[in-house]
Amino acid sequence: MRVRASDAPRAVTGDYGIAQTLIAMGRPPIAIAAADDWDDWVVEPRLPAGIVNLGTSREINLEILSQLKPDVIFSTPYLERLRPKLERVAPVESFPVHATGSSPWPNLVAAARAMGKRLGAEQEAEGLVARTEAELAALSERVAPLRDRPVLLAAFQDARNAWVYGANSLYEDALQRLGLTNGWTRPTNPWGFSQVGVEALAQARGARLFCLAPTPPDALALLSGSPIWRATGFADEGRLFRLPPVLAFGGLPSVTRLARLLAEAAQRA
Amino acid sequence: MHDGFRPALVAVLALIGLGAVAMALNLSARLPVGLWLEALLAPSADDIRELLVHYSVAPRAVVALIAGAGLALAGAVLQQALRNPLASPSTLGVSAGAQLALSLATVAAPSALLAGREVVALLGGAASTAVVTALSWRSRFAPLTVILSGMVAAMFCGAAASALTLFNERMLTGLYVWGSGALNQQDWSVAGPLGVKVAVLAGLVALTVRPLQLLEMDEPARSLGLSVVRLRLVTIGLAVALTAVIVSAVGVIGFIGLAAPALARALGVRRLRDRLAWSAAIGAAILFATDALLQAAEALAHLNVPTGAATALIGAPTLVWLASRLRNPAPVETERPAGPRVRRVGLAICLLATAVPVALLASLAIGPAPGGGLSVAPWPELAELLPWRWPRTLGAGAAGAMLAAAGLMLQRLTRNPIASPEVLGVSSGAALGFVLALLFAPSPGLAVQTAAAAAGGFLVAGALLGLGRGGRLAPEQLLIAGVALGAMFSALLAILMASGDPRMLLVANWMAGSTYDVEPAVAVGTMACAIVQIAASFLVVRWLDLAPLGRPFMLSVGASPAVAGLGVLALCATLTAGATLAVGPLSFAGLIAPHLALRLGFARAGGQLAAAALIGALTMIAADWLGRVVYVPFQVPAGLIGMLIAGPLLMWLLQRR
Repeated sequence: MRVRASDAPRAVTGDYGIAQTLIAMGRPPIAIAAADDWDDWVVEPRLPAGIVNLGTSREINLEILSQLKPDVIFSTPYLERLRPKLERVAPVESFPVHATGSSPWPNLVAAARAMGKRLGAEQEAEGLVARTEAELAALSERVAPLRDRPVLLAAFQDARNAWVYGANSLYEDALQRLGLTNGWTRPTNPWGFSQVGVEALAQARGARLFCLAPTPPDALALLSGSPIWRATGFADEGRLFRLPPVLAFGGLPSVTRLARLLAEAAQRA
Repeated sequence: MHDGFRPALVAVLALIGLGAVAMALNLSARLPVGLWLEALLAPSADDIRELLVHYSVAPRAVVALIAGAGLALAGAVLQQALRNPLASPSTLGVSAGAQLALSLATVAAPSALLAGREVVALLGGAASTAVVTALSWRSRFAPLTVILSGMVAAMFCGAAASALTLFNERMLTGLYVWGSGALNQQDWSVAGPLGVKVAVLAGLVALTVRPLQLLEMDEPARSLGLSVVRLRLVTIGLAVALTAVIVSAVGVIGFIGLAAPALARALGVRRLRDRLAWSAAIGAAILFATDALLQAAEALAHLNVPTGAATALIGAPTLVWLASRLRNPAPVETERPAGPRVRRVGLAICLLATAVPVALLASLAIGPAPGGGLSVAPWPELAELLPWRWPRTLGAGAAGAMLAAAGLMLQRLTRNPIASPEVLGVSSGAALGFVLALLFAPSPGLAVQTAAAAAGGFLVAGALLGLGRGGRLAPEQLLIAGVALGAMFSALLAILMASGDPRMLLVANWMAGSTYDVEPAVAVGTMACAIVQIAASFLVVRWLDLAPLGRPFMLSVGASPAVAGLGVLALCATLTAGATLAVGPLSFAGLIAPHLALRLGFARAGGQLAAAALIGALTMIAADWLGRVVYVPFQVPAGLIGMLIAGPLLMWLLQRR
């Protein structure tokens, strides 16, 4: 029997973004969904040891969850379908952040504060918001070398299809806070991206392209030979950057992570 | 030109014209008309608009023409070789095999993709075809055995591929795009080699035309010294190669191979040689027109729909229409069971009936132990776990029994062993209703989703019943209509999947046969439905015993085939809708359980119905339990587990035939 460090409520969540936020404010959840994939998709902040894996977020293992006897379950509208089951275990609090048809940033801040309040960690939550703002302000100086061109943020599905992030995405929020221009101005879906064939990237031919991991290994190899790809200019030196994974539908730590990776890329540009 | 070709020619020209208009609209939005020729022949290297026309628009049109022609040719060849108007490249499992190979490579060995995505897909398609071929060997390529093996292989590959998607959700969205057929091009590197390969294979097909014609005779080629087996092997091989080459280049574009040959026949093209040529022309025209229209829609309305999925949307209503005016559908060959017969049917049924509650109790009591392994939880703890366990177990068992009963009745009624609830399209209709509720309902709670799924299922059943009432439709014609409706709904689902909406991942589990969402009320409701409807099934059992003997016999004993057919169909539809709500549209139980019952020796319809329902329940209970314990903390959907077990089992049974 483990002795609890405090009487603070014990939270669980099926959402990576909420887990990120909780860990960053120093109140990690006792269990999350898909803990085994964390390092492939989220990376930051590091997942503390001892967090129980609940299976996939879409089918949280209810037998394990009920045996953990959590005090509160944090969820999102995306996982609303699970609510009737989860409520039989503990109270469920849901935070709309993404896919609201508006910029996620205010939602990210509001969700962090609301979770802090629920866990009796208001100061920690305020600290996280302030830390994020300060870090973004500092990083916006370091990304200055990227300001001469618009930025494209894309995730390749294969050599011919990509998701390009635009309005109403967390990536767009990060770019705005860094004073960078997003080169993708076409309408996006509610989640903030457009699913396009790569020839559509030619519309933003003057931009710098940042490919977010995971990129299928054959995708960039195939692209380098295409005349359209060469005409986009992305095949030229210093126009294409490959970035490690940044959770697109994440929390505040995702914004800072993307900003920091862009700043590091700016030193190479 | 022969006068008989005029309708086909008009159809091809109309389609090409439609596509050309759409393409012109699309082009004029991109580039002034005066520059079109220059862009096509010698694009200026720094004008991105001209480059896009030369390296994207033009090769895409060419690839669409080639792929459409090749798939249609493959379908026409298969339909002739198997003498089955429902045959198409997808019934041999080629595309499913290719898709599985790609999924496996993406997850397990991404470096294999560097060697060539096409090579990987081709290997997968060839492997699944080799399995189907091996399974059909002993039966000397009896048409139904080939189709049945192909269907099982396709279901097996599909289930395995979706298992990978479930546990690597964020990685495989690209496969959804590929899986629904995306034709976009960046240069001529696909069009050129694809054209050469398809042309070579089409040339080889031309060489087989004369011997293939002999298959049309009743006592065919054997008396002429021709090996029927070898002929079928060669022609099927050619069709599969055509399909694999196209699928590996542009993804799954399924419906063309089924619809284009059917359209050619309906437009009055009679001789085999003409049918092959016109099928290819019609297939090319359909795919070209579809793709051009979609590109225009994307350019003008930012609407991104994968072409392969859209062809099914266009092709399916065509086929429903065709099926309803098909005067004399080619009879599907009957296979008489020659297996052992159970002497004491009553005793055997009693044994099966005892096994079901035993399995039910065992699956409730035994679960994963905290430290790994299995254990029976001590009572107070078990009492806490039971509320999570009993609804899904009960729901799975009831759904298995319902699907098995529906499958048995369909197989008996149509004398077609590949008939199953999924073929009827009711499962797909229910799935679509569920998905639309999830995406568009203001607050998609469980009640709303359930109601929408039921509505979708009943809509398909109602459409089928309506079609049946208007004319005098034979069960085979209704089956074709069901296949078409099912394909249309699957296409809509594929479009939604390819849209990349993250909520679609939620649906993936249910589509794979998960019982996770079976709430207590749903479980009890499903059980009640199962009892009432299976009891009703026993009332129509007399018709089922007559059905294999054919229409004349039914008439001679005073049973109206039309009434009997519609009654059984209505029952199958409600059975399927109920089961689909609980365990999703993956209906392997409807295919496998009746076969197992037959293998065990239940030859008469009544005994087979009881045995199939019990076997269906047993299989799904076992599958749900396995899915709960094999991969803790993850839960593998029951339908998927059942498929992974039932697939090889059915293949083994087929091979022993």
